[in-house]
Amino acid sequence: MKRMADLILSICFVGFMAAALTATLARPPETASYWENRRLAALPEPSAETVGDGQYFAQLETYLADHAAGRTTLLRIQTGMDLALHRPVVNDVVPTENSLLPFLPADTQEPPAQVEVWANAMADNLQRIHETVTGYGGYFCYVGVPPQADARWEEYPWYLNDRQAYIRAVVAALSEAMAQRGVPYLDVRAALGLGSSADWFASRVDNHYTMEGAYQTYRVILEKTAAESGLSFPILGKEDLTEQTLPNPYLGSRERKLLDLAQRDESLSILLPREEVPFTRTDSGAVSPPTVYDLPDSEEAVVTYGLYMGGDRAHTVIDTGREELPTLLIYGDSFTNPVECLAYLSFDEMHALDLRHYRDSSLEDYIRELQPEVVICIRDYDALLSIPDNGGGSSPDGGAQ
Amino acid sequence: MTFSSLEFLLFFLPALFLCYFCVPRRFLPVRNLVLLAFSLFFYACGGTAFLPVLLSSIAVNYVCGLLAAPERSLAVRRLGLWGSGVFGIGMLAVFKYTGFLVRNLNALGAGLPVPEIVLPIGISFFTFQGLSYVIDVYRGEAQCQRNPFYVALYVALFPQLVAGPIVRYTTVEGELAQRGGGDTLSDFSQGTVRFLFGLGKKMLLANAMGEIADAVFAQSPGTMAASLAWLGAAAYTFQIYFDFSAYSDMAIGLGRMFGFHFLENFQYPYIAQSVTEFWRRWHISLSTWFRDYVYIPLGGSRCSTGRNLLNLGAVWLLTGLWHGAEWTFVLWGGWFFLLLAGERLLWGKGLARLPRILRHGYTLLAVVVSWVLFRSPDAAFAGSYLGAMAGLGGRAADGQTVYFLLEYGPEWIACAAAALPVKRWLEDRLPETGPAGGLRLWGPRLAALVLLALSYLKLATGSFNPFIYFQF
Repeated sequence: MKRMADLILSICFVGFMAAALTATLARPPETASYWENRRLAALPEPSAETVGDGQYFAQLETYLADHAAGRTTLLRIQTGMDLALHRPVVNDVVPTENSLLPFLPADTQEPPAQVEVWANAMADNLQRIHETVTGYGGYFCYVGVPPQADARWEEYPWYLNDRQAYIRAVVAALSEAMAQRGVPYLDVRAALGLGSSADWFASRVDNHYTMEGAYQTYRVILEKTAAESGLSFPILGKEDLTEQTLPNPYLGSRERKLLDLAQRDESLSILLPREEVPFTRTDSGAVSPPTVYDLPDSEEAVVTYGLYMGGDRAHTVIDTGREELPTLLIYGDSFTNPVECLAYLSFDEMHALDLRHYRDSSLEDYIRELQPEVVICIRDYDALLSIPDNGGGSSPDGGAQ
Repeated sequence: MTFSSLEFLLFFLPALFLCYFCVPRRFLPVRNLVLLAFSLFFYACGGTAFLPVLLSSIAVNYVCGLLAAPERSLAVRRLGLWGSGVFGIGMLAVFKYTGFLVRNLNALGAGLPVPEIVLPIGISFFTFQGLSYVIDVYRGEAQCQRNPFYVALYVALFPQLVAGPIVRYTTVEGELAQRGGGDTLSDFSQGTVRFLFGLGKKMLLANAMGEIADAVFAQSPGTMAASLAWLGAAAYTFQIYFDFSAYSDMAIGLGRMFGFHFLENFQYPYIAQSVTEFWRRWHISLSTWFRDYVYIPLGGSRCSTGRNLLNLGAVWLLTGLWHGAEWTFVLWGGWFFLLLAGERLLWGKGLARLPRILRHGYTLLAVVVSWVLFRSPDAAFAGSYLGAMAGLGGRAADGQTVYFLLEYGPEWIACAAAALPVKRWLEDRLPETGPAGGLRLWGPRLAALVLLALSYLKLATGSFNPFIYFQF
């Protein structure tokens, strides 16, 4: 009997290795992992240097781990097990009863003095852009919006970091630095009087806001702009818009991180003007269909936040041909996208830049060239002090990354 | 390449099995050549640039072994002994301690450039193996090996090459030339079970505890809650045990698959009731190496108390430095020197009269403190961290502690259970016949296969996989 047990174990062990090896070698090549939203490691090329210092085999292990047989299934099993074990954090997501929040790891709160240094660096950077815009008579405003973690901070279990102390210090320091320089700054949380768990404002399953949150952000931005610039443009009220909730399943970024194994019931919606405004659209110079919503082909198709404006685009221009209205330049990270879906309705032309992808010219050169009457930058609190890319460019003394 | 990697499990090991077991058992020299070739390839995977270091160590120890053989004159034998010693210690000094020495000289104002020397993988282990071989030959405790391939195989045998255990030549002397005469299937099966238990310990326990320890030790201890500091220290205590003992389990298991029977390196050290007992259970191959090749030649304990303390101090200074060229390792060695000397001369008898739970508590406290010294990047951090454990961080408890307990709840429970001799307890109590006999027979094998599946799951889905003992 012992010999039989030894034989069976040995066969199972060797068979497992052989099966895993065969399946790994036979696996069709993939370059990206949809659920992880990242590129998979490429097969490393051996060189005298990388073989000599051991890097080649380290890279090869990374490649094999990324391309192991049944990896996606194994990721599902691992995620499912972690969820079943009720771990507080699974795949860097905090599953709460109501929502899926980002895990904010061990407090990396920078001391207030450092926050002030970064806030001043950012404010100096924005002041430069502000001076460029006001130099030809335009209006510039920097807008801070709460991301999901901040809008829903009270939903975190008490023992997990919610970064509230740090975020409050960041917002306060930037508000003060901007006020000192006379650069318009809009804090959307304060402007909307958001409470500790603004369910209507932030998505349950994604880092971004809901369409309602985006609409309210659009409204307060344009009200402030109109009040401070003296410009005249329509600000659409709810009565001017029709809301449509899409029947499609919505896959938020947090659900995606959990391989769609922990759903929180949420649908995406869109706002359409009751009175149609015809327009043309170009993306990076190429003509695109005149739409701001990337609607799915069927009601069964999964929709993502990319619904709004078709996701992050380097350079989009929407022209409504209403020359009596001012021109808007809006730039920022993906929080701009659903706001852009509404903002074009209030302007003659709307130029949208995402400086993470746009490389044709610097922001200030673009502004000098176009001279838009209104320039708006939207950042979420996590990126509020970050100068690179949509912060407007590099600064000699750095800033928060 | 580590044992807990897909490269090893899916490519290296199957290829080795194929090449090794296709050679009939009667052609053992050919099998040995296969093992040697794969062992050298295994080492080269960590960087071919280091291969000459290993090969020169093999060559020097082979020649020195020939010189140290009993049939030579005393002068020649001493030449062999000293040649091996100077070469081995010299290699360690150059690769491991030059930077440390220069940094300390610079601290005294020397102003020397600090050389950037990359430490060859496993140099501390294969150097000590080579030294033990020549010393044993010199002492007449081992026969001089005239076949250079066997010396090469002994030094470079891949299971213990990069992270131990430090296998004495006498342990495998016979098996190099003759093994597999018994039941190879039984050896293979038992080796597989041992290997898979080690793999599971590494992938499921050590890595999880490592995530906690890394997260805690990355924070500033100056403002750390006492609860978190203790949790981080406990996590590292588990991590280093399950990491290192897992590697030993895998090494012993792999050796067994190919017919080698290495000695145990760990015997449930965290159940020890004194620090002296702890060191009889922890990294046994290292402590016995220092005992046999340093402590006893210096005079051991059969001398005056002062001399004995000096001997003990020398051994622990060297043990500390062996683990790393940093003052924290010297402090770590010094801490154990104080405890062991104290137990021998001051409180050992009193300790033995205490209730068992207090003896355990004392030992665990001493060991946990030692691991804080071991894990800290410098002495100042270690002091600050120990201060946080004493409550000087300003807070008694915080939310992070609760998070780490809840997030890794199953792993904490498994670690506590796996640190206890449950297996031995079951073996002692389960009868060999009847249903319990079936459980004895199939239980470990089924558990090993489950651990293989879970480990593969972790390998394919995770990227957190560093081995601690690769740095030595």
